[in-house]
Amino acid sequence: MNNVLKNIGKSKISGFVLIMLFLGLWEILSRLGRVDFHYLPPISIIANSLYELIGSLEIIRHILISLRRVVMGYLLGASVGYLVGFLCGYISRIYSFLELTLEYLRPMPSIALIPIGILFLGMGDTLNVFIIGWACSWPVFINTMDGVSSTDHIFLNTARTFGLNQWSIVKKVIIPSSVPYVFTGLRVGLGIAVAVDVITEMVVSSSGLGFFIITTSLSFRIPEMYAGIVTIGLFGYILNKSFLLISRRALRWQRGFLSAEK
Amino acid sequence: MAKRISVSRKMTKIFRKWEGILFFILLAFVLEGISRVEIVSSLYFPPISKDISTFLNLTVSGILPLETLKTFTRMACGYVLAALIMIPLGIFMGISNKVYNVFEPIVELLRPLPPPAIIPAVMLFLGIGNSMKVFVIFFACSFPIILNTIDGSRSVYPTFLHTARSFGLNRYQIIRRVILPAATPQIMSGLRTSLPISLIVAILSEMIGSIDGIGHYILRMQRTFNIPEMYAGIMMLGLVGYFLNKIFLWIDKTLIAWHKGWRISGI
Repeated sequence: MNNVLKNIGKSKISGFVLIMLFLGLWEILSRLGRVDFHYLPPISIIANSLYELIGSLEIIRHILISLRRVVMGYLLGASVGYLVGFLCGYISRIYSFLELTLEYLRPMPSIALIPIGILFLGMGDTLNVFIIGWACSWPVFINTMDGVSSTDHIFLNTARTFGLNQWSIVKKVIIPSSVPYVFTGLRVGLGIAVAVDVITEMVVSSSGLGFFIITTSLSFRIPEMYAGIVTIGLFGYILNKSFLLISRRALRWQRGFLSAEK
Repeated sequence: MAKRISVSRKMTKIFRKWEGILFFILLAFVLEGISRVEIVSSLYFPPISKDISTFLNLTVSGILPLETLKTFTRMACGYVLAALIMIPLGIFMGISNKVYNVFEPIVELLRPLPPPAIIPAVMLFLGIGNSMKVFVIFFACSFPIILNTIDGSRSVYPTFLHTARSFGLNRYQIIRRVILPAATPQIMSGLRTSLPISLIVAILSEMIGSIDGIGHYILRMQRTFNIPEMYAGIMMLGLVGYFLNKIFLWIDKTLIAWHKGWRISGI
């Protein structure tokens, strides 16, 4: 018995047991009316409402709308961030020109731009896409710039010795060696894209997952609200996992390269 | 001849130093022009000069600083709370596998949830007052801090730990003298990541449910069509973000000054 307890303490089971205990306590307390039934409905009721929402396709519609906005905004932000970051990293002169402007704009909270966005773009999808793009372009920009400007000098000199012209140096040396940095930026950017998507939908939109949770909360459909929050968590989780899957594929050569170096 | 070259070199040097500011000013003039000749409606996009004068007026009259102060207080409360709870917890998770195994699944479960998503639920329990905002900011800041602290306290050089043990330091002393200093750079990077997050979440929570604060102010000015005031508020936010980052970098530099020298010495 003692041994079993020890094993539980050592493995991750203890953590899952804790979660299970927590959820069980939630269910019981809520059923017994120890906490307000309306604010914290039992887990089983939340699960049931999630099931119903999926069955009636209501939440599927919101998921698809959010997904479209995230993907479009992400592609916009990532490509702009990559381009500007590449230019700034490749030609340091451009960065010194833009430095002050960029350093002023960068710490500006992206949601502060929502009011300006409403004025110029209205309340449609364009607004969400632009704000998401703005927010997730920064990590991509910074990381790309770092990656490009920190290309190993030995690589560059070797390439020059072998008589590669500038274009093929960019294509064969600088871009590949900056890829790991770029992927770090892209990964951070994806998380930001999801969060900002939820934010913009909460503040302005009339569709999407962010809108869904805020409207269910205000109209007191509490189990649906919790179901929506769970869905958003899963949404972010799945996007992140699929990104990791893709990047592992794309960076396969790099891992081999690194281990060869060791 | 040689003198002239050196003079022109000096000029280029000066120009290089100031070109960033020059570009910034040029951009301001272009934006001013765009608005003056009504390429974009000056109703939506007032001339920069008007925004700046509104900004100065509102700053001197104390409206903007007051709203900013309210936002800043909430932000600081949530941020400090997150640091005070998450750094010790992170260190315990980093040094003890048992603690790590207990809390890791919960952290992993909650991590993919974008912080703004919990606002509606928190609103039910805590209303739209300060406690709701502080809690949401706390939640949002917790993850970068705890994950970095765990990482930092796990990647302490084993040699250091062995040395400390050989010298007979007890557990508490090892944490204070070895693990905490060694993990400081990474803890600081977690704190730095969560700084802009705390500002964003503070503003967001004010936009969704609040009666004051800079986030609420900006949105209210847009809705009542006081456009220069809205831009002034946004400028203020830019400044706050900029200086927060600068102050943090300064603290970081003084706190872990030893670390740079340590790295350069090549250990």
